[in-house]
Amino acid sequence: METRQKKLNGILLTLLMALVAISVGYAAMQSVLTITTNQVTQSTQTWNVGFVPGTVEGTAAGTSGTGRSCGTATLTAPSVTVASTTLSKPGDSCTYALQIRNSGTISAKLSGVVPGAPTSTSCTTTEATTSASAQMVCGNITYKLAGSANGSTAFPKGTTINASGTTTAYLILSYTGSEPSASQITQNSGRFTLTYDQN
Amino acid sequence: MRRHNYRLWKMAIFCMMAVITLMGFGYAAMNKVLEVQVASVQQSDVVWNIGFSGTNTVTPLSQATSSVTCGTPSISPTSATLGASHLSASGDGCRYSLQVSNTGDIGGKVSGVTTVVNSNSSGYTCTQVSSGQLLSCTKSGDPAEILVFPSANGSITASTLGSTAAATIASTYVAPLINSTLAGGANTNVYLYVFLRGTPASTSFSGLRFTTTVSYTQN
Repeated sequence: METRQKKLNGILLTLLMALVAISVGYAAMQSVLTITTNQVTQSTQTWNVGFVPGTVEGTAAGTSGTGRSCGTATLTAPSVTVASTTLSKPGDSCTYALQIRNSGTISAKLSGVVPGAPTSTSCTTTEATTSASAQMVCGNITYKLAGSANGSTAFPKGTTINASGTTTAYLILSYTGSEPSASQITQNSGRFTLTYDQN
Repeated sequence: MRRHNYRLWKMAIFCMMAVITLMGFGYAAMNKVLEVQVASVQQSDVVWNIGFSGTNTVTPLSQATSSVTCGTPSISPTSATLGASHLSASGDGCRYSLQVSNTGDIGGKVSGVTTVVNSNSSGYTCTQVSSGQLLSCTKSGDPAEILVFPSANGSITASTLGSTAAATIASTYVAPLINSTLAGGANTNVYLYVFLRGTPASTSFSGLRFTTTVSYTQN
C-alpha cells in the first residue's frame, strides 16, 4: 500500500515536471514582439454630394416657338424637378444645366445613372456606361443626361467629383420624331437616378 | 431542453437580423442618390401646311401696242400650272400673281427657289442664272432674251429691268424671296414673271416649257 502510494506520487511528480519543462521549452521557442502606438487620431470627414439648389430655366431650340415651351427646373440638394414642358415638332428641345457639388471632404464617384420611364409609357432606356450618357427614347420624345449642352459629350459612369468640386450635368429633352405631333400626348414623371459612391 | 434550443435559435436569428440591418445602414451612408424628375412633357397637335390658296391674278405687261397673251393658271395646293404665254415684242411680259397660304400652326420660310427647263424646242439655249434663281434663254445672233423668274416684288415691268444683266436681276429681285417668312395663318403673294427683252430675229418661237419651284421649310 505504501509502495503503491509512493509510485503514484512519483508518477504525478514526473508528469508535473514534464509539464513545466514543456512550458519552459515552449516559452523558449517563442519570441514575443510588442508594437506600441503613440497616438491614433480620427479626423472629421464629411460625405455630402448634391445639386446646387436654385432654379434653372430651360434653353429652348427649334425652328419656332409654335408648340414649344420649356418648364422651369427647381433644384434641391437631392433632387431636381422640371415643370411641365411642351415639345411638338422635329427640332424642338429644352436643355437644363444642372450643377452638382461635392461639399464634403471625400471624393465622389458616379457609379450609375439609371433612366426611369414616364408613367404608362413605353420607352427604350439606356443606362450610363463608362463612355456613354444615359438616355431614354419614349415615342417622339428623347430624354438625355449629357455632359454638354449639345449632347455630344457624355456624362458617363466613373466620373469623379473631388472634395469641394463641382460638375454639370445637362438634361436635354428633345422632340426626335420625324413628323410634327398629330395629337395631344402627355408623358408624366420621366426621371434619371444618379448614384454617387465614395471614391 | 427543447425550450432552451428554441431560445438559442431566436437569439441567433435576432443577431443575424441586427447585423444585416447595420450593413444596410452602412451601405446607405456610403453612397448618395440624386434624382432628376420631369413632371410632364406634352406634345401639342401642330399642323404644317403651306400651299397655293387658289387666288391668283394674271397681268399682261407690254410696252408696245403688241398684244400679249398670258395663260390662265390652274391651281392646286402644291402646284400652279400656267397656260401658254405669247410674247412678241421687246418688253412684253406676263406677271402671274399666286397667293400662298399658311393654314398650319408652324411658320414657314422660303428655303430655295429654282427654275428648270422641262422641254425646249424653241431653238433658244436656256441657262440657269445664280444657281437657278432665274432662267435666261438666248440664241446666237438673235437679240431676243427670254427671262423667267419668281419674285416677292409685284411691281416689276420691262422698264424696271431695262438692260440689267440677268445675274443682277436675280440678286435684286429674286434673292429677297429667299428666307422670306410666312407665319401660321398668314398669306402672301409669289409673283412669277416671264419677259421678252429684244425683238426675236425669227417671226416666232415656241416650245419652251419650264417649272419654277419655291420651297418652304419650317421656321
